[in-house]
Amino acid sequence: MNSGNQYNLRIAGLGGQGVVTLATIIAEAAAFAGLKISVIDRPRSAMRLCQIYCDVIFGQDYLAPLIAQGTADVVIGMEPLEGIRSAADLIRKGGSLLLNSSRIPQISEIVTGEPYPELDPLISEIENHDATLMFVNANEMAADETGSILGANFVMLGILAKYANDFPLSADQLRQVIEKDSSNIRCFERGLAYSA
Amino acid sequence: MNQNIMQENKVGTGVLAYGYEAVARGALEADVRVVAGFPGTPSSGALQALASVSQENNFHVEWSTNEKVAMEVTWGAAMNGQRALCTVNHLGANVIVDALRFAVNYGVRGGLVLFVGDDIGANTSAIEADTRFTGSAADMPILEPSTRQEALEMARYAFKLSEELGTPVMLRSVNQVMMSRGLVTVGEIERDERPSEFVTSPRRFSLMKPGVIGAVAVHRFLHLNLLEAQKILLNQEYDQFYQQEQASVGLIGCGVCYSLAKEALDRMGLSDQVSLLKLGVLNPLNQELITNFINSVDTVLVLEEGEAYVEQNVQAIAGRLGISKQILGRLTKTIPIGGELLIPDIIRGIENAFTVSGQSIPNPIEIPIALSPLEERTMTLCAGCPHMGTFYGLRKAVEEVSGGKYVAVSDAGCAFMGILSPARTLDSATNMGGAIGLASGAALSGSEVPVIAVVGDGGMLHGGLPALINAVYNKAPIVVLLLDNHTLANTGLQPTANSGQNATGKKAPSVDLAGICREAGVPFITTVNPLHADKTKKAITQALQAPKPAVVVLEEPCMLLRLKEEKAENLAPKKVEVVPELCTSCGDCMKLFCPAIYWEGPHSPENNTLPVILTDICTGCDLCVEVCTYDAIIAKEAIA
Repeated sequence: MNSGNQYNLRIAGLGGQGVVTLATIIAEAAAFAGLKISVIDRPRSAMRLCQIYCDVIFGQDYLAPLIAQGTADVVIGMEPLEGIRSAADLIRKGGSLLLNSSRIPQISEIVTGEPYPELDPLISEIENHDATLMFVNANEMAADETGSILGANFVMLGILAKYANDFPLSADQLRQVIEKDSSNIRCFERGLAYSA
Repeated sequence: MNQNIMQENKVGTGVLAYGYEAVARGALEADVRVVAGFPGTPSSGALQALASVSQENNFHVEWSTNEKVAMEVTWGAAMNGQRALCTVNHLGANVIVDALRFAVNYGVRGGLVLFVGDDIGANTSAIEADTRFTGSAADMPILEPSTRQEALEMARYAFKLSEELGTPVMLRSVNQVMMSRGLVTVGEIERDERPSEFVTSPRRFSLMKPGVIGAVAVHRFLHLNLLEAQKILLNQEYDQFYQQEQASVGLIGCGVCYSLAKEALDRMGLSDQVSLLKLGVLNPLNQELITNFINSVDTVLVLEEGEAYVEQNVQAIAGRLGISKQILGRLTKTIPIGGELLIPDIIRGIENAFTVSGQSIPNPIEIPIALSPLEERTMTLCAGCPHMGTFYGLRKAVEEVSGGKYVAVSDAGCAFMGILSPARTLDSATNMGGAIGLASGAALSGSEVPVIAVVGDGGMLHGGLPALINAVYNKAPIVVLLLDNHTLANTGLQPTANSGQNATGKKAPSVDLAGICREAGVPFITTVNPLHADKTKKAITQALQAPKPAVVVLEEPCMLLRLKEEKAENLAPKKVEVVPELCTSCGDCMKLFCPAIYWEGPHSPENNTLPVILTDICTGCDLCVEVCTYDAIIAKEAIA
């Protein structure tokens, strides 16, 4: 399906990982750059660790805020399984999947000890789809940079700006809307400086 | 940067805003004087946006104790000649109906707008519902925006319409519009002094004539009033007929589905081959326009969020006029029943309509196939949630008192998580304030096991209190666990009447719930902090053995409130960790079902796997520290 002049970005994660903050920064940078943009928030609830995603659509002419299946140009997973879950549904052939490798176990692992799903087979299915994959430990980079994992979303923003093909915003355009001298900007620069 | 749509003064400026903020801005531009509501996605944000500017604009905003009260408060303001807005979601819309019917029948002087956000797709709700039926059953006009911009314009205009008709107006929207953000252009904030003067039920008295019962006269009037609404609304052009010559297929797009239909047609390259009817007025439906539209094509596909509300009406219109056309939609299974309509659903629907019409699509497009889907992640309570301690204590107490047998039901809210695996502490969950009545019925019908109602402070204040008084009055042998976390956490930490804070963040009186229970004649009542597992177990055990109905107040602020406070005071985050030398791998800490505690590998009684605390997730509530018999979990500070 043709996604026209749109550029579709899905940001998936769990409550407390800064998914909405990340979408907000991108939306503000886009608005600042004079680009048409739509963002939808999809939390399962206000609770921590609940599934949440934001769909960010650049160049949108109509109000259809949800990315249609198989048309995402980029999927960011703030948690690997959440990213893969979204990518399985959404990623287009040749899209990019950017995963924070830091895992958050599922509650089903308590008591039963049922293991966290094997990621490799899931990832190779996506790779067979001609998607490019970045698997980075954003938590570790954020903690290394600022002493806290809270900036992992801004590390992923840096990764996005550097590695996503044809992403409509430049690093400079993003930089403009991030607070100067903040731990967020340090995390962003750290992601931007990352080389695979 | 960081413009706020509520603060923007320059008319014509485009500001990045949510759909619910567009509604709030529309109400601000209409000079709303009183705003009341009850939280529920996707409506809550509108009230919060208005609360953020209520002081400088000098109007009243409140979170009411329940939706019915919010409806009454706003109706009272409107009877007093002031513009008022009531905000609820689709479930809250069930609660207001009684008051709403009176408001419609008795009429208003100031504009009264009921903003209902329907969580179609049940993204955060226990039930999916379409409230257009509520509005049409009440004989009130319903507007539904197709875009965020239209949401602002409709919200602003709805007050005027309400005043012209003397009737409340419903503004209905859905998740796809309300929870999404984009540029919205602001208009001027109107200022108009409206004198306060309470007019007593003008309609009821003026319509009474000898020989006609007032209520019947009013009912007849309401139907004439809707015809009047239709005439007035023509000027707004919310309904639009975009005719394509020679089109044999026509789409009716209601609200957001008009935008979705346009995008689908564009992608399919069919924009100039399909006629499109945009409907923004969902009650009363413009019969003449719909008739013209049906007559212009041979196959009609109705696209709407929710039920087959418009589709049924279109069928009725066609049937009455003897027009023989194919009317497709949910009833013909052309589009799915349940869930949000997405672009692929609409594309398939249009393909189907073309087939029915005997046409072929020039350049059919392929919808990509999704890869293997993964199972959804099970929802959990937050690490450090006081409810973990309550549920742990409850399970331990019933083990002791009734061999682990019991029935427990809860209200909506975070306690709802208690019905989920792996813990499955609760048997069922229901509407706000509903658990006490439900438990009473189960107990009074002769339960052989203890019956327990779990209700939050928000739920108790919402509708639990009348049910509790009923339980006292009718001697329902139940135990009520009042999970008093001082907030409505699940919908985003909105304050309750015992938070000590109101909707605008100002200090407010805090209602003493335990005191109310006592005064209501509850024969046994005790208060405990649920983060103390052993005391909690003892308190619930006592209640199970006490005269009924018995109430246990489990008082501890929501963990998210505690973290906010700790952050404000610049305290280091609290964490705990396992001391491997002391741990016997007994698994007691696992029975809290805390999302921060896991076995470090597959566990069996033989392999002595140790639990591990996920430091990033732990909030240092110390429940597990207390639960551990071997002192093998300790606060991190204690280690240093």
